[in-house]
Amino acid sequence: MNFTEVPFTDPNAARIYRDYMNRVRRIARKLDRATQQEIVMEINSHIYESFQAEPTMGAHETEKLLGTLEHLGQPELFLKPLIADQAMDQAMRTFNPIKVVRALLLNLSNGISYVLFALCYLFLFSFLLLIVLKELFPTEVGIYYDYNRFFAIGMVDSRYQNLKVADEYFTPIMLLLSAVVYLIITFLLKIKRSLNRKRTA
Amino acid sequence: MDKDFVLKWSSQLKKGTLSFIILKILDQGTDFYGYDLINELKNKTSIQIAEGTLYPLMNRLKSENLVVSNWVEQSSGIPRKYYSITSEGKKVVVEMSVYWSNLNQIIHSI
Repeated sequence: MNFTEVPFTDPNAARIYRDYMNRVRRIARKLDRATQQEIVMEINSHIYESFQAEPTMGAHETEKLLGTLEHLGQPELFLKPLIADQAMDQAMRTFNPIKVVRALLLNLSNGISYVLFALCYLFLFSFLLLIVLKELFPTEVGIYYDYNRFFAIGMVDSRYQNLKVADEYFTPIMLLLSAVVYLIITFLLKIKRSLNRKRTA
Repeated sequence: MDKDFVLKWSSQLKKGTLSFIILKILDQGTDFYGYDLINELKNKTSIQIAEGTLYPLMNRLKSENLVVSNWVEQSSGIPRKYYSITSEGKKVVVEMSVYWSNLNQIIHSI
């Protein structure tokens, strides 16, 4: 099914309508093409139906359209939860880390499970970043450990330098930790996916 | 009387019951497209919502498999997306109605 523009005779109304639809397109751009199209078409349909029914007899097209858009609301606000939900669904279907991170940012306010995912991704990127930092600052970056007293990964004050451990294995350890966190994320995503499927079964 | 408090409470209550009301409307057997559903909601309940907020809600109901949608071509060239309730949605409406009725009884008995 194709997108058809709502026709307006007044060029001002047409411009307002196109601006609004461009805002909708811009917000939906974070999603795949089919979902973008679905959202744009549904909002377009709403504008058309509402515009036809707008009860301002004899009013100018622009006034009628402004009334319609006012009732519909700001797309940046009302579409936000829809985009966040759709982005998470798509991320869970594909396991694409970029999509997952994007969806997590959109969903951070939507519950503890997303906070957990966000923390896992934060750890994953931190471990990978530490590998790069180790190459740039080989003496400062390391694993610092003192039984029951101190544990840190990264850069610490120079007085703790004597607590540095396993320096020659730093990169393999970080790679191993990254792999473990990645496996945990994949496992959690699979669990979440199967829970969602069970809920809708 | 703290009018602000009651206003906030009623707004939260409306928000919380919106999915129940939408499912009840669809459970009457008629399919609705978005704008039509908003009008039905206004007529039946006098609840005023920002019209756009209906769409995230419909998306959630759809992802929970409580409603399904299909596009229907129109002579205007601008198709409508009609929503209808699923068998799972019908079961959920029954459960929600029982819960609502129990809650109502509890409130009245206090």
